[in-house]
Amino acid sequence: MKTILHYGLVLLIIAGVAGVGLSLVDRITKEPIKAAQNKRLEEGQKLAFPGASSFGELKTFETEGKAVSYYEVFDESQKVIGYELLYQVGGYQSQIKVLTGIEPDGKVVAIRVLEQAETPGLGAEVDALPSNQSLLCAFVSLFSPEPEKEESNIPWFQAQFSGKTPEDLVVVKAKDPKHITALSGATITSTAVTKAVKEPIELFLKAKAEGKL
Amino acid sequence: MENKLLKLSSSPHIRSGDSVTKVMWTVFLALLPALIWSYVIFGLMAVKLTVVCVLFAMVCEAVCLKVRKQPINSCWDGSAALTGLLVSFNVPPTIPLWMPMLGTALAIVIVKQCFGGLGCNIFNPALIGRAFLLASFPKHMTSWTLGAQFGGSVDAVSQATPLGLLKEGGQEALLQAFGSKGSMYLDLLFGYGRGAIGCVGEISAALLLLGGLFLLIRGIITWHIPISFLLTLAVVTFLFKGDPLFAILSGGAMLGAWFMATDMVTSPLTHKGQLIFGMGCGLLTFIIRRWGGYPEGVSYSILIMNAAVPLIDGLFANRVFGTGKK
Amino acid sequence: MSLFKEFLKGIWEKNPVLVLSLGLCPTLATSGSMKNAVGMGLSVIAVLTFSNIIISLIKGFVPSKIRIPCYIIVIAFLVTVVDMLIAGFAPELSKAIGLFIKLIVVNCIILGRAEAFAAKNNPLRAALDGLGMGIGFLIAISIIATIREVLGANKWFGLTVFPGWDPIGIMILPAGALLTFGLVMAVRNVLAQRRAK
Repeated sequence: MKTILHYGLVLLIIAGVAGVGLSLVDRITKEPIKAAQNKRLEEGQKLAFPGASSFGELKTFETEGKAVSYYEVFDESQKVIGYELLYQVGGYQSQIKVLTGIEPDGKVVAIRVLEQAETPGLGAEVDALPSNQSLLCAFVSLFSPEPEKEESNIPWFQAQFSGKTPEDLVVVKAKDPKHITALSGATITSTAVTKAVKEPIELFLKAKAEGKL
Repeated sequence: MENKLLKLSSSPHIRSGDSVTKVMWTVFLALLPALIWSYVIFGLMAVKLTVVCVLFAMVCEAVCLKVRKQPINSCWDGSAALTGLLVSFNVPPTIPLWMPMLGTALAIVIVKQCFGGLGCNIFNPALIGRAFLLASFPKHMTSWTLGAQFGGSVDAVSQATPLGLLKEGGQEALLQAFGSKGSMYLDLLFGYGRGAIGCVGEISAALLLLGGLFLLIRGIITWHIPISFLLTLAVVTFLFKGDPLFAILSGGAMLGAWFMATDMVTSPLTHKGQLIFGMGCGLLTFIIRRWGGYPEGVSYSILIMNAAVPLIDGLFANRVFGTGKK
Repeated sequence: MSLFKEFLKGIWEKNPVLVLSLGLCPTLATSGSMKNAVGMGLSVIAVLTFSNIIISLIKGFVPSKIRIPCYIIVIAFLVTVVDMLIAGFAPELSKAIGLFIKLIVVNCIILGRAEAFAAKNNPLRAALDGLGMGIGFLIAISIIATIREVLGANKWFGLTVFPGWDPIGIMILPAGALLTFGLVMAVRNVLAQRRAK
């Protein structure tokens, strides 16, 4: 009996101290964590709809048994100029979360893959930037104080979606500016991202026609 | 008490004359028709590919033997050369040469020698080489070209293999490409016309079958693995409303069933076990072809069954003489 | 054993990954790119050093029969703190290795060193042991990650190494991790044998 109490007390003390410590750290980091999450979302929102001045609250509609979350996009005079659809689709080995900015008629403004964990070197190339800075160049630029050139921060695969109508959103293997060119060796990921863009737009247009928004 | 079965005769004993070297070169001979046909179809690039792979495999083997302080002469026994040849048989002819060389090196150094050399490897070295290349260079390993006589060229936009056609366009695309069912079977059988496409060594089903029968007659292999492999593949395909003849004529089915699944080191010891092994290969091949991400699954199915060999051997072990029946 | 040797042993002689074969799960999982590997290595150094110190401090207080749950609480506490700090103040790093940080809880290097070393030595030695082991882990994982990222993605810290070369994709995949790990371990063994002669 005495040993059990002793053991229990020791565990209690250790767990208690750890708990108090955690709550203290939580108090310090709560705000920065929330800020970081918001910042990531805001960056995504801006990239998915360049030219917007503010965004509405997260709303959800449901059509054909599928729920789609979306934001309204406002210009400076608080007029709705488009929407941003948040949608998630299973890729090759992870869930791919995409934010799609569209005009009211369903035309894509820009997209942003918010989350993915596809195969590095193949599917993960959806996030690959067009610049292909080499190690040598990076090493040289360390020693030359010239200002670095401003580089595009939109991955080329995601840039393809801008200006496409839902009918154009078809994955093709050969390079074709009218459709979506697949990442080489990653057809499944390419198709999944395209689906994550196309499907919510179609659902959105349907819901809009039915007045469900 | 007399027991005839335990009697030993005094020397001289009759020797069978079989040796590793002899077996390996017989297999080489059996692969020769397919090799020559690949030279006819793909020309110089196939020659370069096969010669480089064979020589490089022997060099790797010699280096490994030297490092392991084994007699270097064994690099001439043909087993390494055969692995090299099979690697080159399992890649598209247009692949840049350094890739199959890398696959060959991996097959010899890691899969064979690191596991203890000839007879000790768990997996078929050439197939691991192929799997390694397919995972590493999916683009180069899946861009195909028709033989030059049939309108293909190195620079041509990549075309689909018959299995690729089936995967992407279904039965209709297949018929459209070949014209009719009869000409499809003939083309696939002889590696001619629209059938002259695929990995270097898998073009002509008939020539591979010929080589396989040669091995069978010479007693190098028994019928159990290839027949159960091909039969299972055909039957399952038929059950799922596919074309059974197409299934065994296309892709690497013939090459795999006769020359790679039958590898003595990585297949079960007993006939019963070999039947199970072959059936597993056929079933897995069908599953990968029908539902998998790749159009072809022979190599993976054989590798998976390689891993199951110790288990199969354990289940179907011959009763040790003198021990009681269970 | 001198204090300096106590620190040094984790780097070569008793390298946690290559000799003790501890912490293989994070080694295999995060060695696909240098960025992840270094992030993982640094967080292990931090957690390992502090957990060793704390466990060495409380060793007289904890009865031996319940030492494992106590160690787990201490380690989980430290890991959660590191996780929250990174998420709050280095969000980019957190995006890359957030998942792996939580895995440190079950990283057996940490529990292994707590049990095998920190529980039997004074805080100073425990700290040096943790630091050395952590650095050994960082070095091992960096070597593996360098080989894998350069061969498998033709990159190093995300920068292209040989422009225009087709990388060997499998090295980035789990199979490449096992292959590289085995070969690096073999090379270390060969070198160690040479030294012993």
